[in-house]
Amino acid sequence: MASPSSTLDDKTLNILVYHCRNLLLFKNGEQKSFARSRPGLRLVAVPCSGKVEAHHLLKTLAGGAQGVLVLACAENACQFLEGSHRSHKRFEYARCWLEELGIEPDRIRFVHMRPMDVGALDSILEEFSQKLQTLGSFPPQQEPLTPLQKAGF
Amino acid sequence: MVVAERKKIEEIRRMVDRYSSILVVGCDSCVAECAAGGHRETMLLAAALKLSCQQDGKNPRITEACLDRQCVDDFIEQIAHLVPEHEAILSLGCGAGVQALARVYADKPILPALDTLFIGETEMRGIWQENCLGCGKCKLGYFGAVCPVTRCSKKLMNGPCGGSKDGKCEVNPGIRCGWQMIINRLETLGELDRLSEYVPPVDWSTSHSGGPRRVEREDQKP
Amino acid sequence: MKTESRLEKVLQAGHFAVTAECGPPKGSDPTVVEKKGKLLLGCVDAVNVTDNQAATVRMASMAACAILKNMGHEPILQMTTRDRNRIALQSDLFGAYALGIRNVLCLTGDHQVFGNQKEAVGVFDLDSIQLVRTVRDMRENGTIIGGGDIESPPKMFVGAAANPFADPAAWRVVRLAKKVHAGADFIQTQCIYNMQRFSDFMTQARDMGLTEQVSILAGITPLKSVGMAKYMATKVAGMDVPEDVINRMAGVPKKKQADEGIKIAVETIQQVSEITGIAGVHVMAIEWEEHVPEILSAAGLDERPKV
Repeated sequence: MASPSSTLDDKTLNILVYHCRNLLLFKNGEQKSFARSRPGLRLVAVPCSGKVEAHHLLKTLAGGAQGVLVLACAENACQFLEGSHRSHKRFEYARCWLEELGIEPDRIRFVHMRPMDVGALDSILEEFSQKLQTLGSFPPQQEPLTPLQKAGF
Repeated sequence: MVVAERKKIEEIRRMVDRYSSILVVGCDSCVAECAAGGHRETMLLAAALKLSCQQDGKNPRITEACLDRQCVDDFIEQIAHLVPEHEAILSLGCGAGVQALARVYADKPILPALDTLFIGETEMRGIWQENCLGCGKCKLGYFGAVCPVTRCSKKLMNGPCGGSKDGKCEVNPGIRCGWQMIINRLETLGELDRLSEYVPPVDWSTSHSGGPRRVEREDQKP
Repeated sequence: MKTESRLEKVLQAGHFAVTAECGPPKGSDPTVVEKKGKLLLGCVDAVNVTDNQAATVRMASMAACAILKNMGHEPILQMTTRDRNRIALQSDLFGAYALGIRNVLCLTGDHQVFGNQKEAVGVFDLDSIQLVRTVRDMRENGTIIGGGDIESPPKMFVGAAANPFADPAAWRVVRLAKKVHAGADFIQTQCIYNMQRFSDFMTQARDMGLTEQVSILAGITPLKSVGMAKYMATKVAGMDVPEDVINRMAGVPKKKQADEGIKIAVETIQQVSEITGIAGVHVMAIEWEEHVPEILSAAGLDERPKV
């Protein structure tokens, strides 16, 4: 298994990954160790990427994640036929929402993967976290109040 | 069903910003069918509102709930336990739902998250079409079940105006000419003769022009 | 005679009638109306005054009609059902008659989305055919809608529009028939550039016996330029400007296009006057009223009958 990347060691960078179970990325118990060796990373297996809806993506961000990644099967490889396609449409819809909210849409990312390619996952994570670094933290750090402001002026 | 669309988050924020706890309430009937205010959209809006507030360094308490029908008391009462602990309710119901909540929870600010648009049908997934204006005196039987009051931009009762072109309305090419549809339907049914007769002015007193309407039925009352 | 209308007299006497259109100004200056009226005085039998055409706010048609009436014109009050409900329309009919107006053209009107008040409510309480019947019932029965008696009913010469070029094509003559049966005395058509289609429409109208019951005035609008021809062909609802007309305009140098447009108008007048059942022409020179006399004189229509 690939070694954890340096950027993921940054404890402030919380990334949540929804991955389709049918991608077979992890054998029994491997998911936990993969995540444990990469602080800030959370992995959630879903029965099909089609189960991931726009509200999951937004809720995840609202819950403190800096970025959300959806890993889906190729559209023609989806076991539920339309799941991967729908998932992508929902992801696009969530991006529209982020745009409306004035939040960088690149905080969520959707990737079609080949099954069992956990090596590819590491480079995807590496690239994604670099992107998130350039975006800065969310929510944006508020300017601390000046003493005058604190006094109500 | 009633078709509605979500308001922009900016306008929603302007309405809710003065409250520190908000109950977001969806409706799983009409507005769920048109993907504007059902349980999915309720969860989505609650999350979006949280994100939007977080961006401005605010953190109001946001709770979500969804009723089977927001325009019927029996259902509205299901959130009675949540209402006291929130300063305001943001409703994803249609205009009827918002006002029903306001009647039941008389001391609570109720704010609309949707713009209620029309009575219509789901023509296909992702397309909703207005087809009833609720005029109070259904004339569909005379017009091949295509409503001239609703489907003609000028509510014409005696045939298409001079702006009908290739089946499209002059108002915009996205609108189908209602009169072309009426004529096509009646032609198919072999009932074009229905259109040769002069149709006198419509009695609008049964429509909203007669004031807000109300139905009362003794047999239905408790 | 059903009315005191001068237009009715001209048509009854069997003369080839000439009407022209006058658009009121986008403001309150009466001299604009007077200037346009002066250009047309003596060349036409009656003048149509548009009612907020293209849904754009202009001086009230009735006011401009009164100004023209005072100059010695025979005004035709255009009334759309877009902006006024049946109370306002009927009240305006009383008022118009009191001001000496004897002709009314009943229209539904362009949709408000085309004008400068897109947010306005579209009234459409009546449609044009219901308005025709309303004006006729005032004259014939002395009643308003619903049957109430009128103390001194207006006796108007009733007009309606017809567009032979809109869709569904087979329905256009049926709609004309409905207007005639509702009580239209005269019809003014949409401007004609497609002579074949117009002549087919007239054949249908004759076959239905409509030309015996109503006086049809053919609509003429001179083209100012090839740009206008293209605009009318693509942007104006219910208009049919065939390719060959556009090509003909494009075929002459820019400076000569206005002359060519006038030539086409004159030829169109000559062609329609040969169609059986055409009782006259209605010239709509949009913001180009100064050219109406020359068009009519070129078409040999400058002498107006004394009736």
